[in-house]
Amino acid sequence: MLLNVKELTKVYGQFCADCLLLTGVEQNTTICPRCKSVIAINRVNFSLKGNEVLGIVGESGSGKSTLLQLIYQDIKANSGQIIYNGLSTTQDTGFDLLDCTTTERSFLRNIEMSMIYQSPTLGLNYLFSAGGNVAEKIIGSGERRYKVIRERVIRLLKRLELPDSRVDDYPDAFSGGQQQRIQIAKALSSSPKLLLLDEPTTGLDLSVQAKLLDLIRELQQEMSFAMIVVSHDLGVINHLTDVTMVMKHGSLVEYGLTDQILEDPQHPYTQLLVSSIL
Amino acid sequence: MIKRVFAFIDEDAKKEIRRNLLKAVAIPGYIVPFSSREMPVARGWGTGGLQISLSLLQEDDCIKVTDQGCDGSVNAVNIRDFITSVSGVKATVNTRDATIIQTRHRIPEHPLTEDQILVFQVPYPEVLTMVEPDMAKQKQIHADSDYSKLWVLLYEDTSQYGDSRISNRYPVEINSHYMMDPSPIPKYDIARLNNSPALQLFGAGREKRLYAIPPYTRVTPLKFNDRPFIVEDFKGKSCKRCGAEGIFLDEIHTTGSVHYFCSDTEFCDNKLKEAKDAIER
Amino acid sequence: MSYVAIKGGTDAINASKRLFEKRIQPEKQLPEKDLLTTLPHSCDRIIAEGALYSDALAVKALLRSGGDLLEAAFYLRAHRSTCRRAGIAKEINSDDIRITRRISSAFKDIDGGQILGPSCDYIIRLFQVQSSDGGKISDIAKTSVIRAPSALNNLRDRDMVLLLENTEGEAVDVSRQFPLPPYPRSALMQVMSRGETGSMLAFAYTSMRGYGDVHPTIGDLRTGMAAISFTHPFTDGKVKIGEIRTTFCETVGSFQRDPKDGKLRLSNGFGFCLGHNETRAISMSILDLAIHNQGYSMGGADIAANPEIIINHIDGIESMGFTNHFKLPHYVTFQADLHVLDKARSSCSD
Repeated sequence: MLLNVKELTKVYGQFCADCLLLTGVEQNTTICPRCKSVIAINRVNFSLKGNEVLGIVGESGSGKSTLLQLIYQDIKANSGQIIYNGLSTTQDTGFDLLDCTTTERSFLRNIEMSMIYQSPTLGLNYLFSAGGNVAEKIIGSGERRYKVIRERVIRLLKRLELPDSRVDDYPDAFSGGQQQRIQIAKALSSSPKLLLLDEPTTGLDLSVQAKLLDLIRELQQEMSFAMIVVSHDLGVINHLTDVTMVMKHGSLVEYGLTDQILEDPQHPYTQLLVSSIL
Repeated sequence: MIKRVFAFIDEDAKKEIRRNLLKAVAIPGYIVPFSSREMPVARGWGTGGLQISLSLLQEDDCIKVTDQGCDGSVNAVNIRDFITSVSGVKATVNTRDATIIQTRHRIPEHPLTEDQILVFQVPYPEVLTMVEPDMAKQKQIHADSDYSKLWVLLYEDTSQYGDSRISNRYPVEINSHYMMDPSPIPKYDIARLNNSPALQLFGAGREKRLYAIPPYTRVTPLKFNDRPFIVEDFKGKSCKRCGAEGIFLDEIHTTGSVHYFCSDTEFCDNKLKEAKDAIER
Repeated sequence: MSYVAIKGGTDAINASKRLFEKRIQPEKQLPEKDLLTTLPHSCDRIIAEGALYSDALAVKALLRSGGDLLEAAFYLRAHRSTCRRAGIAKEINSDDIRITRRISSAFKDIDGGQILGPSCDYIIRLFQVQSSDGGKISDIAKTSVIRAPSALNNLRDRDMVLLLENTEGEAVDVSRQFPLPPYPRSALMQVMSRGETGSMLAFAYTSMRGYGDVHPTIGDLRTGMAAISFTHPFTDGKVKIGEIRTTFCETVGSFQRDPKDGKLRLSNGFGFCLGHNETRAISMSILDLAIHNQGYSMGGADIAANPEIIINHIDGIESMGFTNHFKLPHYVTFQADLHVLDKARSSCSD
């Protein structure tokens, strides 16, 4: 397993002793009736193999983006474990992301994993050029030869179907779809073992969406990294993922092979979700 | 003149500065905050260097103060006069005779020794200012040694202009750890920071920070492994006054022509004197 | 003595005015001519921020305001509203002024020389120390008329300085019509040349400390007397009508690509003010540089480069007036605030 998530919990508010028991799918709420805390993630467990593609679906507010942010260390969890097994030196014991220092955190984010945010404004630095953004991640992974960096920047941007003549333009001079491609080029530039995607194509027009999804799928097969894809769009999940997790009120509702979940949903909430979309 | 304490600042303040200097020497390139008293010289005019010099000064010291390589420059004259008037120590223009050398924007041409301390006046102690002005974030970057933003700046400049646009205050790495602002010395002087026998101290009064490069410390400029570090080129040019070559020269433009002179005027005077002595002999 | 009493308000206000007059003791004040000669920098600041060149009125304003310089500048601004615009003077070329002080930090040696002139820059600020040695001042410094071209002309001759394109016809007069965005440079320049010294200094300082960093070097800073000329209404010839004290500053930034031909050139900024005030002329030139040229920083928000921020926040008469307006009664709005707070509190405790 590349990643083991155990009893992961994120609470906004006081976090009283009853928070976890009084919220979740069965209780049909994320707000603790006793202390009014919001239980964004309620004791979630799952694991991910190397080069496996996991989809997370659920309605807005179900905690799926929070889960990604917890894994990427954008926010800190309250309790639980995120065991990362990607480091060769810690293969046997694993490495708990909740205990990592800021130095280890930047190492993980610079080299081991990458995040693609729904909005490129979160993933890109608009004061750097398109190439500079990609270069930042390559430099972060330790490369110190200009020629190598420049060539890899151009190769990646080309692979993402961006004209290499525009490598030194600034992100705001590109279209929304192109900015998303720059973000993907940046994310892949360190050859990460795990790629996290938060609604990567939401907001783009349909023809652009389809092309980008194909490209992501191709790159995943080519570079064989694991992915976690968060989307409210079952089409995206169907297109990209092997296994799927359904979330509601911060809890895991159903987990299984994507085909199975889409064709034969078990939980009533999943049934509702699938029937409303397909 | 009213009798004041030796070397202007009270002894407790000097002690505080010296303790922070010890810390700075112990962690090469690390920026240490200090109290930074108000000096009767304006902020930004060398008050950081001045406080370091005053806190180190002893009765038998001999001070040299230089600015842009010239001891006659307004800032140098002002600070030297002040230091000698409040301490009574000897002053010199001769690099070889000085025990403490306070400088702005240059390193003297004459090689320094283990018995000397070079004190730099620093306007911007933080090397990250140009990529991250927020102090809390700067601190985090140093803690993580994650200097990729500086490297991106170098990448961008190399892509656009073929090399870094930074002409002075060129970022340096100290002892393979902290990135440091070397004060606004030209790139020519950057190489001369490396492995220096003299203790090099840096003071920024306005920003209330000081830092140090201990003797014989490795100092390397921020550069890509496959790219040369190019310094100011004076090839084929020599000082119009003393004829010196291979040193840092001032360029003087007058209508229609350019002349070159030694930037370090003491070095120039010495060279002339040596030549004159040789003829007399 | 109630603050909100309907009756008695006028009496209290009149008494307050009398008390202020008593505090500044007009009968003991120094003669106006002595004030001008002994406190020239106060007068120059009043003239610049008041945007009216009149020594006599500046001194009067200084006395009236009890030494509050911004308040004094306010008198000049108010007086300005009573004055007709007689016409538009000829352009002044800073190369032509009669120099009293002129320095360049960019070059060691410049045509015409570094002329330190009168300055407190080199004084040790200690009460025990004499500000000067009392020695002789050379006759040259006292009598000769010095004019010199800008120290940057050499770079200009070598085509190394970026020239901003003039997209305006006639310059705007902000006292007649305040422009809407995008703000023409002439409007920004005028607002800056009469801006509050401290405000401009603070904004320029943010740029120096990395928030939009433009890496300035002073190319040419000069103070001196500038001749004011007009076109004669009958002869159409150029006539000099007088001289004013002025400060000019040209700052050089980092190099960038000239949009006109793609060549690399040095950016530069310009500062000007009435009277002698180097701090404000330097600050203005840095702001001009920051507004029209790309900063070097890759770090964060450049406040100083935002013309919207600069043009609307540096006028001292406006910002002082508004800050002090908070002393006016606000009990109606504050009562409304309390009502809303009460409602919110009771809804939260439900």
